[in-house]
Amino acid sequence: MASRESGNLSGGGGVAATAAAIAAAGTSPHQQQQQHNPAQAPMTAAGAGGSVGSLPAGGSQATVAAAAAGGGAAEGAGRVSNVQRIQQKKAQVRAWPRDKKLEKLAIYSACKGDENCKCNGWKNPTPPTHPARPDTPQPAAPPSQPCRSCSHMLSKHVSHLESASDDDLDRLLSIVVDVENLFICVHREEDPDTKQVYSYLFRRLRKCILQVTPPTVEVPLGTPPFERPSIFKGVTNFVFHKFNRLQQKDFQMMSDLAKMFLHCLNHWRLETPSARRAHTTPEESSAYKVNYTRWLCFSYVPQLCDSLPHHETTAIFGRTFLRAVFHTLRKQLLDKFRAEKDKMPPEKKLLLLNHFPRFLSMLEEEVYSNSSPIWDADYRPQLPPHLHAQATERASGGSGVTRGEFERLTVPPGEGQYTTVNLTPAATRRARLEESRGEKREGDDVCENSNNSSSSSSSSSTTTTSNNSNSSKRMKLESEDLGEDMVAEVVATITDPRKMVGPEVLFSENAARDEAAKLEERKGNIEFHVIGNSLTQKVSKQTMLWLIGLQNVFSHQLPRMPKDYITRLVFDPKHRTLALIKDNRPIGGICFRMFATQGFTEIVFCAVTSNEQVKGYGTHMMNHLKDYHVKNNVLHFLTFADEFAIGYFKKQGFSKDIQLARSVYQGYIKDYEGATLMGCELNPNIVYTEFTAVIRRQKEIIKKLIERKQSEIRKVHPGLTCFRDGVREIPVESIPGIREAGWKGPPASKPVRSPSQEHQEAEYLTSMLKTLLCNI
Amino acid sequence: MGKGKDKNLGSPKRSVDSPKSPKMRGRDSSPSFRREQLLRSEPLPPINVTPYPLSTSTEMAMAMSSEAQALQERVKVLSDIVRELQKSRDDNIPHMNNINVLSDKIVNEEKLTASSRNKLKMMYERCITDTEKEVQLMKKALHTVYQIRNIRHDLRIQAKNSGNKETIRRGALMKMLLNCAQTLPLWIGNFGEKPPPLCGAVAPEQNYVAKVNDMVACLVRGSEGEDNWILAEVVSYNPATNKYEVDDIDEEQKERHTLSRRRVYPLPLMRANPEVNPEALYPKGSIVMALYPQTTCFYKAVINRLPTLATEEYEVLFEDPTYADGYSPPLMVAQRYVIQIKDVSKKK
Repeated sequence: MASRESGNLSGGGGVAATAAAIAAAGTSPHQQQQQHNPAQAPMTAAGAGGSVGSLPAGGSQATVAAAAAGGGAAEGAGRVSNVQRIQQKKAQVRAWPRDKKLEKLAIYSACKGDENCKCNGWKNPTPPTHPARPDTPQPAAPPSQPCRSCSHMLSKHVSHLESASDDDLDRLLSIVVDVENLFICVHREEDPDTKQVYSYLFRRLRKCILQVTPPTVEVPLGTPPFERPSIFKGVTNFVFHKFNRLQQKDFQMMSDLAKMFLHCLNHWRLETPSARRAHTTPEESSAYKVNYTRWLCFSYVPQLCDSLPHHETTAIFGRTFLRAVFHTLRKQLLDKFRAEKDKMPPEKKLLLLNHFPRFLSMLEEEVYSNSSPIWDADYRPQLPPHLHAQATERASGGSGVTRGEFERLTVPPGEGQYTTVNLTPAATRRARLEESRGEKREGDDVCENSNNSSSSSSSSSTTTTSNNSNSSKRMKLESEDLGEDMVAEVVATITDPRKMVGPEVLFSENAARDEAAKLEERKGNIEFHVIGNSLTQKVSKQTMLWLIGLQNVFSHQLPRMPKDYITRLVFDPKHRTLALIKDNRPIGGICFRMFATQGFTEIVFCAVTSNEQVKGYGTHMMNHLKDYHVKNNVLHFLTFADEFAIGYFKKQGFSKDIQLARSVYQGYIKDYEGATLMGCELNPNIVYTEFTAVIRRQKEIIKKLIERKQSEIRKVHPGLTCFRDGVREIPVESIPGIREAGWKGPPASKPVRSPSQEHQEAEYLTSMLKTLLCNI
Repeated sequence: MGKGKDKNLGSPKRSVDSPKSPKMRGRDSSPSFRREQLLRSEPLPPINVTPYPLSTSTEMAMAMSSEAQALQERVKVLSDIVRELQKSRDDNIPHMNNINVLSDKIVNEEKLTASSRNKLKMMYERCITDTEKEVQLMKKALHTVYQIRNIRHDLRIQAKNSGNKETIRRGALMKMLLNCAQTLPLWIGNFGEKPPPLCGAVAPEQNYVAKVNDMVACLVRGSEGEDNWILAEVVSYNPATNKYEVDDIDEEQKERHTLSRRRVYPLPLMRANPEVNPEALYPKGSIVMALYPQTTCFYKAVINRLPTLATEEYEVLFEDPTYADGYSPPLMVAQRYVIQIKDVSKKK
């Protein structure tokens, strides 16, 4: 802890002074940590004086800060929360005179005195001897004051800020405050993983001040949300799924408990990866560490350092995360409530000690169950009766229209949780039916309904606001000038075989490329599974046999790949393979490696055994793989395609224009000579296995609508002759009959609707939103 | 649709159900027997003008043609015949039962009186007449199936020769090849008749010339000088030069080849029924050329298992050096796509 003046990071006395100032203003930000309050755990630092020498920052500051922190604790005025304290500090800084602000910023700004000056922060040649109290600001150093390290003037360090507005300065100063807080955190933190993240964020923010850029956390961590559906969505679904048949009062209580649970999770301090390592497998704990880091960077630290963009834990993480933390969280919450039970009023005691444990157990079941519908991205809640009443009017109108909608499969995502995932919908559906039957035995009548509706594609459409794809689709329907009943009628026509005696029936074989394969999957002739090897978990014999089979398929179909190379990758625990199984033997597969942090997946091998080719299996396999990735929120595919594979990948929507920055994948993806890099970006709103069917249906609907329109108008105009006379173009609206046919021109004029309808709609939406918000 | 009907017509249960001769010691003395129902309960299935998909516009244009109408009529005819056939089968059941009852009685009594002999003879004669009627109907039905098949074939050739050159998608092409093989006419000879050339494994006559539009296997030289047996269709034959002009069945290749007779081998024109004419099948272990499933190329293969019914396929092992034992796993190939191995071009 000896003072080391030659700290290679700039900041010098200034940092020390400020750090001390914060500490002196009240308790240190770290003091409250001792309370172990999960609901409002502040930033951590368990005791002063870690190993400072290895840190990039100088040691002297730490000494000062630690000492001052001790002093602050003695003052013991720890009422105000840290967040408020930091806000106060920021407000104080904002109130400083401009020259003082510039001095502060100079400490973090590179010298522009001459081109060769390497100095990246102004250092006060006469550091104050005592830590300054912020309420008695020291007079600002004059702009001509030379820097202790490069001896250029202070003004040379802030020349780039001279014309900046006060707002810009305040924004930068806010980052400065965060940097200084982080600095303390880095030194206080004992856990190596956490310390690393703090110092990463510290350096990140310093860079932002240096470069005057808005603070962001960079790509290696991925961008939120990291998993879909979010925990918030899952828990909300859970409440609807389990309690929608309860009385209003009880339902309200469950909603409150869910709200409380989400709140606790948002403010809960995660176990450090090292504390956790003792009782998990290496695979699990490395996955946990990734999520822990994300949590620190996007959720935890930004709560305090508000210059970083903040995300709620429950909004950006999903089931995998919840599975990892659920047991610990539950234990800590219940322990805490038990400890505090004497201080609670009786009704709160009942809620927390009787209902909450039960709530948690039920939630636990859904969190760890692989077939729970609450994690279905398209789960549509069955509203409880009291909410339902408000929505019936609407729902009754819309129920017929959803027929053509996408169906989503349940794919339990996550790392290291499994070695086999079943993708075949028939099996999923079966599992769900069994589940709903099981529930019925327990006397659960109403629930079955919602269960079924969530699993079948023709589900009833009670509205939900949080489902993006669904609501956007609905919005679109409403914004068009077609009545829903009209569309419903058309859909009914095209699905009624008696009315469609025309070519569509006659040429039913004129099907999409993957139609035959889908039919076989429905009949159960073929199945799709995602399988992989594992070194830490037991791999079933079945999975091993399939992996061997896949290795054989790849080696026969890809003769130019060395066999041992194929074997190595297929059995590598980081690679997984989507297997196409027929008669319990793999006849094709796609071996892939997911780089979740980079946000892309590399397609390593892709093949179908030669005697099963040209049956649409390849297309269907790729569509399954796409759906699987949408579930896991990895939305880019990359692959090196050889000359024979380019055609296939083109048909699957791949292109040679790569949408990702080279830096994202270079060094990650295996590079092959003489092959073409191809990529494909996924759209999370598409269910790819249903894509062709949906598009076809839409096409049929449009065709029918055109026919209707034509039969309504029944007027034949003579064709245009002006082009024959050499006219190059005419305005569209001058084509005879086009307006009568319903053409409206460019959408400059908004879709015409009766004002009353619009009014009702807005009113309806507001009331709906209100009800939902009140009850979640 | 052709598939379903065809399968029923070649009902394998037949021989089991036939009346027993008195000489047979009746182990199974139950006098009644059942035969498979030929009728489907559903209404007439719709039939496509081609056994493979084309673009809707082309198919619609084709559907307007008189052939398409003829096609629908044939399907109706076929359905009527099958109905009639079932009726006559139903009618025959009591007669056959009577024969069984009487013959059982004779066997049990171990005594054949003159009257019962005469009676039995009369009953047999009647049954034979009935059965011949059934056979006629059956042949008529099969004939209709082949008419349908021919119309569809003609339509395809028409589409191909019309200016509207539309590439059939590979998946569709494979479907068509499969369909062609499954509906290949089944040879039904009279008792003791030998299967003709080009039925199953029976070789064509020495000077046989494949007809225009027939499918053939032919040996073509690839771009890298390697020889390949490919599936092709005959465009023309010039008797003066002894040369065929053929089109690769895979339209993506868009190649027309002119080949000497030696390099062209006709595909079987009829299926052999393994139950009746096992001699018209390749024996197990023989080396043949077979169409590799889902491709349009023939490769050397060993017959691993013979079909036991007219609707079944050969199981073959393809020569494949990429497998440890030198052969592919067993794969199924239809009779139509298994041909004799031919000594490849002794002279250039």
